[in-house]
Amino acid sequence: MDDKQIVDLYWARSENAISETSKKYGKYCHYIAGNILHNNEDSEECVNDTYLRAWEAMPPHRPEKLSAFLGKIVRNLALDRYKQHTAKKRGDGQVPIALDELQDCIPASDSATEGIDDFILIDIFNRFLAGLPAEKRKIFVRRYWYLSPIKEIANDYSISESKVKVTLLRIRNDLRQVLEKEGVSL
Amino acid sequence: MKEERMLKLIGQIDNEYIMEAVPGKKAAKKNVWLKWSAAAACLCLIAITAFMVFNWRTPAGDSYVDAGEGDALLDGDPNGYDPLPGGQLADNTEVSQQIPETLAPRTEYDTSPVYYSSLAFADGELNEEVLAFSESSMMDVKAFDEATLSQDHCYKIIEGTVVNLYVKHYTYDIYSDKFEKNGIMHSRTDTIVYEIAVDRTWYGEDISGDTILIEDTSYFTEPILAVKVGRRYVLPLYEYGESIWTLGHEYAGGDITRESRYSTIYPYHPQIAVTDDGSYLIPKDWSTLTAVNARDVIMDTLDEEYSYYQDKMCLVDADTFASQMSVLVSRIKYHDRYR
Repeated sequence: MDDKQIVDLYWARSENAISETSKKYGKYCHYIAGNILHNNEDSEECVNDTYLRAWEAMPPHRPEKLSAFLGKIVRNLALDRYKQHTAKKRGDGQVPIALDELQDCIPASDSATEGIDDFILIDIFNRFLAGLPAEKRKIFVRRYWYLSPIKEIANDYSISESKVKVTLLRIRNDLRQVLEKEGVSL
Repeated sequence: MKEERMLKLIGQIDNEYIMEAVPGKKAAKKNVWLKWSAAAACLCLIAITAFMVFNWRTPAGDSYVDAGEGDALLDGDPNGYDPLPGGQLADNTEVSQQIPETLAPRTEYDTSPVYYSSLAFADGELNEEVLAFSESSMMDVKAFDEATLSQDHCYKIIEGTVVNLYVKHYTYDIYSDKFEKNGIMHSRTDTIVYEIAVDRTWYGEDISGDTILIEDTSYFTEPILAVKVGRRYVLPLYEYGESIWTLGHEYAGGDITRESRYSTIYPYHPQIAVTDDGSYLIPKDWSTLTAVNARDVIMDTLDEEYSYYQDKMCLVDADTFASQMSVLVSRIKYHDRYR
């Protein structure tokens, strides 16, 4: 079933909407939740919550890319859950490692603007990504959007792990420079 | 914490970037591999003879050439890679409703013809010595097709910028009976040497970041399409060897040590050139690379002498090129495996 038909089911308030979503995107959602939570039970709950959120969001929403729509929901839910679980102690999975890596992107604190608006930051991220060669952009998104392990990225793109690490390091440094140039302080 | 906020906000990037990096593409690639392996196995059973299976120009070979296009057009997924990444409009109407529209929505692929003069390339340089090169090396050569890659034992396919280009002169002696028994013949040969800063390896061990030398015994000299210093190209390479070939004669002295062990697999046609915006100008004899989303390039700047290439070049966008190259590479690997 194509995405448009699935979205139509949501709009028609048909319960098949969720089973069709699960059939087509269940694995995808589990992958994202699993990288963040590193726990099957938590991931399963997160994915079920995602279907519920999708049910509540459609209508009025009519996403053109259902996978990205669901992916964003499950990623947000999983990160929230991760935060709850690790309020005192960081957990397993890729999140703590990715967070350490992302420290490279944080501009020096004497930059001009404190507490910059989310919209502006997202806009900067998008413009930065638009300027990257596709291969580098994919590696960055796999690491920091999908939270994929380095080894898996290297395997999927047929490059060495060290190449993935070096590429990510360069992108993080470039991003930090862009943020500094824009006068951004997180 | 700041990095947590950053991780959270990265979650709101444009959908097209999320879609283009969807995991699991390798799995799809494996499926295609399996499909080809299965096809080969079936052919083995049906045709029995090794000739039918391993010869590129057998029916197996024909389906090989066509399948790239068919694979991409029929299931939209040549070798597991989306042939239309970003081909959909960015979806900003979903849960967050917060994502600003930062990129112009992409339209469907434009396959209308384009004039060569409208393409932008980095400034390129040639010198007279390089342009004059072909006069000493004119000969008849067979036409290129992608089977040549396997036949010539393709070693790597690289992409990079030419940083230097020069002619190297060799003078050496060989034993020859042409004028007298066991006489010594003084010989000279010229080669053309490219120095290339490699930033991408499409096939073979990754040498991205290295600067390498490539040494060819022939050169495509049409000034518009010839390889130039300062421009980016995609080049298929093979291992020529440490010394120039003395064509069956015994070596009798002089310099025959090459600058580079590597040569371009087919230096007799225009090499694949990369435009400023990352598209690829490709001769159509690369059948897989030009099978999908290719725009005809009208060579409105060619001299009459080279009008043969007037309608034999096309332009392919970066994402399609990457997809089709992965198809081609899997085929090279397939043929190498069963060589």
